[in-house]
This record gives sequence, C-alpha cells and structure tokens, in this order.
Amino acid sequence: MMKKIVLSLSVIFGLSANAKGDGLLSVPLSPLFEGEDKTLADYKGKVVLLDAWASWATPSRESFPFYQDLENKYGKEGFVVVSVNNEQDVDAAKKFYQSTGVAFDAVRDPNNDLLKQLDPGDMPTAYLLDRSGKVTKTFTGFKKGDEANIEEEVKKLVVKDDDKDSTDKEEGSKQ
Amino acid sequence: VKIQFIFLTLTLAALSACANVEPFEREVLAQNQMQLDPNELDAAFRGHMYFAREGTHGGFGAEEGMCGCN
Repeated sequence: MMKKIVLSLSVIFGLSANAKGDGLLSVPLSPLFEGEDKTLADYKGKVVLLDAWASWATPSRESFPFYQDLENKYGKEGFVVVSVNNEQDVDAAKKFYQSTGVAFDAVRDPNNDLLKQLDPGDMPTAYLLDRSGKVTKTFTGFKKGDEANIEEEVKKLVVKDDDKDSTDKEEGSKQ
Repeated sequence: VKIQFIFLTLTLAALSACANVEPFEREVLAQNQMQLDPNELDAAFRGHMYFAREGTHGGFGAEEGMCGCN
C-alpha cells in the first residue's frame, strides 16, 4: 500500500516537473503587430532569449535595448530574442515596443497560456532556451549589472551549441 | 461545537475568495489610478504643507525627525 502511494506521488510530481518543458513549445502565440501565429517550436535549432515583458514593468525600457544589442551581436550564431507580452491594452504594448526602437520578434500571449506555464516571479523575466527548446536559465527582473551575467550565459550556450554542432558534423562525416 | 463548526466553515468559505495575483496579471494594479497616491509630486507637496501648518513632521515618508524644522 505504502509503495503504491509513494509511486503515485512520484508520478504526480514527475508530471508536474515535466510540464514546464514539454508544453511550452506548442503554445500558440499571436504576433504583436502583423504576421502569422507562432509557437516556440518554430525557433528550435536556435538559442532563444524569451523575454516576458509588459509596458507597465519599467525595467523593460532598459532591458529592450540591451536584448537588441545581444541579438545583433550573436544573431549570426543562431541567437534570437523573442519578447512575449500579455497586456489587454495592446496599443500600450505596441507604443512601448515602438518607442524603444527594437526589432526583435514580438509575440502575444493574451490568455497567459505560456506565462502560466513559465510562472515568472516578476515582470519582466527572461528565459534562456537552448537549441532544443529547453529552458536552461531564468533571469527574474532586470536590474543594472544583470547585463554581464545574461551575456555570459548566452555566450556559453551559443558557443557550447556551436561546438556540439561541429562535433556532431565531424562524427557524421567519420561515419 | 455547532457554532464553532459554522464559524470554521464560513472562515474557510471566505478564504476561498482570496486569490494570488500573479506578477504577469498586474496590468491594472500597476496603473497610476490604482496607487494610494496616484500623483507622487502632488502628495509630497500636500505633505509639506501639512507638516508646515501643523508644526510637526512625520507620519508619512521617512525623512527628518519630529522637530518641525525642514
């Protein structure tokens, strides 16, 4: 009896732990401006910095230009920034986004389907996803001084994945 | 015992109405109109007038002591 309880509990906890990784990629996200719906699965093969932001969360004003710089710097190596917004006041979000002069992808999650899974502890919160779409790091809030740490983690992942890709290619050519 | 049971049930029912507001759901709460003092500058000015008139200081804000001097 005890074994059964322990087994059921571990299955339940196991499932809840898995939920964050598996469901994320398939959540449909509408564009903030124009275009087609996307999912995070569309970004598989790239290192993604997923930024959950809001126009009322003032640190976003500082984080946006930095994230754009990161994309400019590491974009060639397969790094993209995807910003996700859930505001009901879409115009406020659009106005904010345009006022910062950034050009990275902007999608919406109006029903919080993605955000409920991510469960950010603060706004904004950024998530670093590896090329398989797995969340590897979470950056809660955005404070001065966070830039170096975020860039370091991005660099690690981009370089690491590049190394892995080249190793895979080498192994493939040997076979 | 019966009264205690009713009280407990009512308390539990009332508690169920409480809900956590997630950080990403604070769009409305973050608006200026939702602040206790929506206009920060105006509040500071009114505060200054108040403590100058009353010859006291404190009760709100963290600056200065209670001597009334600015």
